[in-house]
Amino acid sequence: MTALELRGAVRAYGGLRALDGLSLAVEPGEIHAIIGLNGAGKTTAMKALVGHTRLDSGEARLLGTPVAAAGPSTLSRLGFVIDQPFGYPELTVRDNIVHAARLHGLARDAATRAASSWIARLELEPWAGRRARGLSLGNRQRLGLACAAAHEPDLLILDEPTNALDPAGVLLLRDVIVAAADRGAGVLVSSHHLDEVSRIAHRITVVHAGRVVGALEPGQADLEHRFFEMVRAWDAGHRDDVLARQEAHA
Amino acid sequence: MSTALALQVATFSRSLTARLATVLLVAFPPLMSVGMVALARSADAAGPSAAKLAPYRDGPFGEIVAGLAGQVVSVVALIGVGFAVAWLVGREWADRTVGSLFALPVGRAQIARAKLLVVAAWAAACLTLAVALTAATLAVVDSASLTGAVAAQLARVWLAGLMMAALALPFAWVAVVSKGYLGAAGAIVGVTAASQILAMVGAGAWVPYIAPAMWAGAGGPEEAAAIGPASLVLAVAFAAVATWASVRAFARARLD
Repeated sequence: MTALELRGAVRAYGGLRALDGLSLAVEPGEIHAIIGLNGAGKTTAMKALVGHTRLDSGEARLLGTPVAAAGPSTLSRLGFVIDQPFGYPELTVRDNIVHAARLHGLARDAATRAASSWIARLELEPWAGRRARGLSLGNRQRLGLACAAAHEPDLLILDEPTNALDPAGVLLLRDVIVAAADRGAGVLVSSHHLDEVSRIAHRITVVHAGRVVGALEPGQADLEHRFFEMVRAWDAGHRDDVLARQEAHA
Repeated sequence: MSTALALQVATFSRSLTARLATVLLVAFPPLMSVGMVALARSADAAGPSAAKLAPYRDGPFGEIVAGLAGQVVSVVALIGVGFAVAWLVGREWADRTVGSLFALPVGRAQIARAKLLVVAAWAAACLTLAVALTAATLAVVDSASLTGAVAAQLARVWLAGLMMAALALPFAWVAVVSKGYLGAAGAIVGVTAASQILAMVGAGAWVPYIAPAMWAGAGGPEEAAAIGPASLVLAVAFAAVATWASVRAFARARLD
């Protein structure tokens, strides 16, 4: 059973096809990175997987179950950070993690223990009693990661999780992702930090114009160069498509 | 449900909107109703304010206070509870926290029900306290004025307040549709203004947002007598259906 599967996904906003037949999968224990330019369709794909948006056609499955049919037992095995991390500004860091863990199905005691553990793990102790509204962007991102992962999900979906993190935060995030995969969780992660992706991903898929246009080998040198070559090659072979997308964006 | 309730209690109890609305709901009715009537009858009332206070100068003190309480409680229940529910629902979009409420084992319908339940329980507590404080203040100022008839009128005011609070819950629907609390705030102002106009043209008995207020004496004893059970049942039924629609809208919202 795949941890996550998106097959032939199409989603159009007016004349713009944000997803244009995109297919990808994540196996248990696999870190699958998707990379692409802004507007490539990475976030839309992730949003379709958690129900933020609906697909016009195609299929999305979480842990073997179609998204629309996923019940509490499936959803309690999912954790994600898409767009804005979990975190109510008026609640403390600790309370946010406890509530997030409970919403993901942990009992009160287990959620409290998980909060303490993740506060230590993500080095949030100095801010544990502080309200989330006072956190820096990077610490909010750490908090969001703790809220998504404190229930030890079998599937993690992370959209640009390194955006605001400092180098220490990036290392912590990497440890969390690798540890999740080591215990068998599937991880789908999008990132603009190609070096970081190259270090930890088992599979790197290039998404462009709402579809998969190729794959890159993790650990290769000069990943950025190879990425742009792939994107330019696709654009050169699909000039009409590129023009239509530019008009739709305008 | 307990998980969803715990989160809503935690966020609502720490919100500035809830604290301000609590003050409005609890303190305003006794201060306004007893205070205005007492001021109207004091020697200090003079000038333009004296003309405005004139309707409260004559008649039994307790009955005038209870009548004014009906007016005040109806308005603050709609506005105070309306703003509270608008914040508790609309903040999910304004603070961009709504995205994290998708794909959870605790469904969004449960979360929406928890939000409305928390606001409803808080509103009932506040309105009960407000009417109790009005009666207590009346007893302290003039104990003889708290007659059985006045107590019965205050009980009616309390019931009308609860109905107006229930009618404020559907502003959650506006918050969902407008993806924030500003749209709902506008709707509260709009409904309040439209209610005033419809009441003036005599259409109040069959408008859900007016009937309970008229029944509580906001338009005077004659208009209160004109409100039958059917008008109140219609108001409560409207509140129930619109609240159900609010839960459904929250549960089905997308983030396109």
